[in-house]
Amino acid sequence: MWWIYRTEVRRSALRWALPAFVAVDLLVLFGRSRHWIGVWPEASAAAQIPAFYLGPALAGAAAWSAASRRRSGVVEQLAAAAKSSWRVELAQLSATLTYGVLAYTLGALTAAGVTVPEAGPEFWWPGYILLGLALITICTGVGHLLGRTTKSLFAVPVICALGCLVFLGVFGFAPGTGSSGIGLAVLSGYPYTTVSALPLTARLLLGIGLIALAAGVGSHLRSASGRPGWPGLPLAGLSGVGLVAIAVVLFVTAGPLLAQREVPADPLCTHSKPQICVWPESQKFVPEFEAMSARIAALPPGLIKSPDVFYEDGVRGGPLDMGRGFYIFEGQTWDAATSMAIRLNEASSPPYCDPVDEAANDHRLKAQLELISWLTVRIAGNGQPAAIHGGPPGVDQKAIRVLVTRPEAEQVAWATARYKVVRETPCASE
Amino acid sequence: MRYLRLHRPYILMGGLAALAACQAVFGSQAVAMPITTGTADSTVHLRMLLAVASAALAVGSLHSRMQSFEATATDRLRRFRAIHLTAVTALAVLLSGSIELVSGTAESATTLVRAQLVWTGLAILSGRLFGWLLAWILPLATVFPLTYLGWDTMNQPRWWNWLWQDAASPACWALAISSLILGTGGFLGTPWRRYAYGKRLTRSVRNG
Repeated sequence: MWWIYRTEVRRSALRWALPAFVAVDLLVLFGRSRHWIGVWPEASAAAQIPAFYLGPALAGAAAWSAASRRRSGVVEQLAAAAKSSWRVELAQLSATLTYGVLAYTLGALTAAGVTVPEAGPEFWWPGYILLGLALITICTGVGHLLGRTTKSLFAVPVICALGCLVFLGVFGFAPGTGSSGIGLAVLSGYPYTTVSALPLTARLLLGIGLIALAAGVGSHLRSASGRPGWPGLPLAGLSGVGLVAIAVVLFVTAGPLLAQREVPADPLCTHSKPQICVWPESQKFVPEFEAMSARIAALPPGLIKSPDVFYEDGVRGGPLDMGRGFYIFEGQTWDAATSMAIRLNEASSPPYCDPVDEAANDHRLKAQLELISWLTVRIAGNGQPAAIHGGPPGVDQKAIRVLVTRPEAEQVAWATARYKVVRETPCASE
Repeated sequence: MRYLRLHRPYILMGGLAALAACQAVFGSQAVAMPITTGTADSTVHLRMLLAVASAALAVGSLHSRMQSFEATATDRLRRFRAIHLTAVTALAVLLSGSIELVSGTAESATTLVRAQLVWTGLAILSGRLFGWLLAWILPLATVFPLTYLGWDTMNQPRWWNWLWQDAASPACWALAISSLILGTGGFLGTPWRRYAYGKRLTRSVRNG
C-alpha cells in the first residue's frame, strides 16, 4: 500500500497546485493583518483561517482526482486490480489530502515560527490548528465521495468547491460575534476562549469517518460491473458509515466548540497603579498597558476617580460582557481604552437614576459620551488608529482630538462642565 | 445538429437554469468570509459566487469527448465553436444580469455583469491552459484574493476589486476588457496555430 500511496503522491495533479496552496496559506496569514504575531491563541486561530479557503479548494481537487480514472479510461483495469479496492481508493485520497495538509502545516509552522520570538515558547495552542485540520479532512472526504459517486466530470468539482465555500460561509463559523454556525471554523482566538476537547474530537472523527466512507463506498460505486465472484461485505464502507454516524451523534451532543477558559492562576498585572491585569498570553501588550496605566494616573485627580484594577475579559472569571472587562481587538488597545474610559466615567459619575424626561436624558447622555470619548483619547495616548472609524454617536471626534492638545486647565474646565450637567440632571422621584 | 448532439445542450441549459433559479431565490444570501472589516460593505452574496460558476459553465461547455479528433478539424468546426461560446456566454451573462436587474439595482447588475465578463475571459484562458474541463480553475481561484485581500488598511476596496469597486470604475472595466482580450486570444490560440506560429518565428529568426 505504501508504494501505491507514494506513486499517487508523485503523480497527483495537485503537485502543480501545491505552490498555489502554500501561497494562499501565507497570504491569509500575512496579507491582511499581523496583529496575531506574538499572541499564541491568536496565532493559532490565524493559522487555522487558511483552512477556510484550502478546504473548499481541496474538495474540488479531490472530486477532480477521484474522477481521474474515468477521464483516462482505466476504470476496468482498476476494477480488475489484485489489491482491495479500498486500498487503491485510500491511497489516492491520502495523496490528495497530503498536499492540502502539507500546505496547511507549512503555514502553521510559519505562524509558530514568527510567534515564538515575541511570545515565548511556554504556551502551545494546538486547538484551532487541529480544528482547521479537521475542516480540511472533512472537505477532502466529501469531495472524493462526490467525485466518485457522480457521473459528471465538469460540474462536480465546481459544485464541491463552491458548495463547501458557501456552506462554510453560511453555517461554518463558530457561534459568537454575530454568527450562528455549527462551529467548523473560527475568526479569532481571544485568550479567554478555548477549544473544548469533545467537540474537537467529534470534528476530527467526522473527518476520519468521511475519509473511510469515501474510500470504502467510493470503491464499490461506478466500478466496472460483472466482476466475477462474491462481491464481499463492503467492510470498509460499513465502518465508514459507522464512524460518520458516531461522529455526527458526538457532534450534535458535544455542545458548543468554544468554551470560556478557567481563570488564570497568575495573571500578568502592571506594576503601576491603577493595575491593569491581562492573560499571560497577552504579555506583548504589557508595556503598552504600563503606559496606559500611567496616563490614567495622570488624569485630573479630583475629577476622575479610577477603580484600582482593570481586568482583561475572563481574567476574573464570571460571564463575559462589556463593561466588566476589556478585550484586545485585532491587536489594538483602542477598544481596551474605550472600556476603561467607560469604567472611569462610571466611577466618577453619581449613581444612575431615571431622569425626569427625555430631554434631560439626551442632555446627560451627550455629556457622558463626550466625556468617554475624551477619556478614551487621553488613555490611548496615541490617537485613534487608522483602521478604527467612528465613535459614540453624536460626539464630534475632531473637537475631542483638538481638545486633548489644549492645556490641562482648559480640559479640566471642559470636563467639569460636563460632569456638572451629569450631576445636575433632575431625577424622577421614586 | 451533430455538433449540438455532441455537446449535450440539455444538460448545459439545465445547469444554467439551475444557477439562474438559485440566483433568483437565494442570490442575496450573505456568505461570511474570515475577515472583519469596519465600515466598507464587504458582504459576499451568493449571486457573486454563482456568477463564477455560470462563467465557468458557459466556457466549460466547450469540452467535447471527441477532442483529439477535433484537434484536426477545419475552420468549419472552429466557427461553430466560436458561435457556441459567444451564444452561451451571452446567454449566461444575460441571465444573471437580468435577474440582478430585477432583484437589485442597475448599479449592482452592472457590477455583476462586469465581474462575469472578467471571469469568462479567465475561464477561456484557463480552459486553453488546463483543458476545457478545468475552465473553472482560474475564475474560482480569484475568489480568494477578491474576498480576502480586496480591501486596503482604510477598508476601501482596492482598485482591482471588481466586485466592490463602483460600477463605473475605469480600472475594473479595463480589467474586464483585458480579460476578454486574453480570453479571445486563448480561444484563437489553438495548439496548431501556436505550433505554426512558433515555426514561423524560428524560421524568421534563423533568416535574420
